[in-house]
Amino acid sequence: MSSSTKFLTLKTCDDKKFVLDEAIAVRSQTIKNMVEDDCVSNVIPLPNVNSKTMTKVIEYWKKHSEEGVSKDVLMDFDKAFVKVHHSILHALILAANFLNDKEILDMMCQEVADRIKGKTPEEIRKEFDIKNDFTPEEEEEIRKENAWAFE
Amino acid sequence: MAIWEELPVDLLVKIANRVKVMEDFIALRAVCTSWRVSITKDDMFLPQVPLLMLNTTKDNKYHKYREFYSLSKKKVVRVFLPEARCGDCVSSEGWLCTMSCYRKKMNLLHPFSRTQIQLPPLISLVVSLGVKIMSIGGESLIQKVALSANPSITSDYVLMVSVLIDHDNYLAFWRSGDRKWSRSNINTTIHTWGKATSIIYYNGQFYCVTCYGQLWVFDIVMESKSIHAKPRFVARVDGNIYPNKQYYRLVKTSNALLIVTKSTHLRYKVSELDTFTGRLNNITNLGDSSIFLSNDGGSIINCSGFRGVVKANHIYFTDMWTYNIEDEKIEYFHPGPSSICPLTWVTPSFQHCHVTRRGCCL
Repeated sequence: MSSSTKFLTLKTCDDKKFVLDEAIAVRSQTIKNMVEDDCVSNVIPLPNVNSKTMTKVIEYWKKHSEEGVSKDVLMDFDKAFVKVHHSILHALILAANFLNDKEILDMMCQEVADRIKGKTPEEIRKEFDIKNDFTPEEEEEIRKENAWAFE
Repeated sequence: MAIWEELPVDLLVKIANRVKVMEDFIALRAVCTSWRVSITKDDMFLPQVPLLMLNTTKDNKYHKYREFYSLSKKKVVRVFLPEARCGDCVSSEGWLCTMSCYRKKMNLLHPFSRTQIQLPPLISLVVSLGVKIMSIGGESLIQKVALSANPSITSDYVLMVSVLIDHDNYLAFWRSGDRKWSRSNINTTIHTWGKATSIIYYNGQFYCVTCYGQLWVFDIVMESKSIHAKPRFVARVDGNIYPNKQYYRLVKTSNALLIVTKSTHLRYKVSELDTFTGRLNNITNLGDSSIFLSNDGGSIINCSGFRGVVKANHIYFTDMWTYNIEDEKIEYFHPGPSSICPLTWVTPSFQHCHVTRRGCCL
């Protein structure tokens, strides 16, 4: 079988190259479409993904392509995988969206949702480094509209 | 540096769709301008976990706030709601049927936006029922209400009410925009009727189960100024397996009408009700769903989005305890004895401004 293994070279926006088994790379629907449409030359450019993020994505792809990994091991892997700084979470969401990998995208969106759970707007801003750009009047209006939820 | 404010709208909505609890969803929309603009009220997961509306007590009577117990926050929250400061409230579809002080006015009230829809006055209801006005008394006049549709979504709906006047039970109907109540021409004062124990709108018709287990259906005929509710006896709800037939609560899912019956003390059964024969098919497992029951009705929600908030396959009672349908265990969801005086479950929702709401006087 090994003789039939094809490798693809992915090039991230910071000019780093990743050589990857095609069978693994096609977890990305975007790459899969390119391969199927035969528009893959030597190198696939990924202009929206940096090498740091791509390393994470490939780490996920490889783990989930390994044979004989139990469900529990994968679950533990996923749990650890999402425990990252919010900036990496953000990058992974954009990368998964560009690569069209629904599995990673869903998992990351769920992690963001989980981090929002039970928090006040101010706590959410702190968690994700978001600036409060409401005027005091707007903020008061928003609070008033659903005051019960902010108690 | 991550710029969450600039996340594309479709991705932001993907995240918002995973934020299931309404309080979290409200917080999410209050973070920054771009999130508030990108995530609309329509993105909220439905149906939401009902809030337990508490009764007014001696201490808080006539206050401008009403209290609700939130299962997600595990505490009592206050809602500014001066419109509901007098008397009882009966709920359906997330709306309350309220009575003004001295019972002069009746309204449908959306408790989380304070939108009101004026109903024809109680006096017109009493007159339409042919009851002497002198005999209005007692505490809970409006016992149960059922809406054919959520007035937040459509202006075209019918409201059914079950009224208790001088120990007699009456049923009346109101179509949005009508000036008057329409009474059903069913004789509910006869001995065998007892009273309506549960009413619901399901699959295009209003259903009623009496305390003696009779299932009635009301066919609504629209006329120009009023509506005609034709009662039709369907069947006796098959109660043979239940020694005590006093307790019936109708709950609807998207494709079935369920009935909760109480068998012996603190044992409940959930069954699917065959609306043609009255036969019950026992359901031993609700899967990911749970039922919320109160005196005025019931609702069912899918709990999969509310893990840690609502337990699946349970019945939630207003008396702050849950019933496990599988092992019949009872647990309190509010710790310890308290002065909390529960009233009814109300499903929180947003009020959409684009729907024209037709009260009785328009």
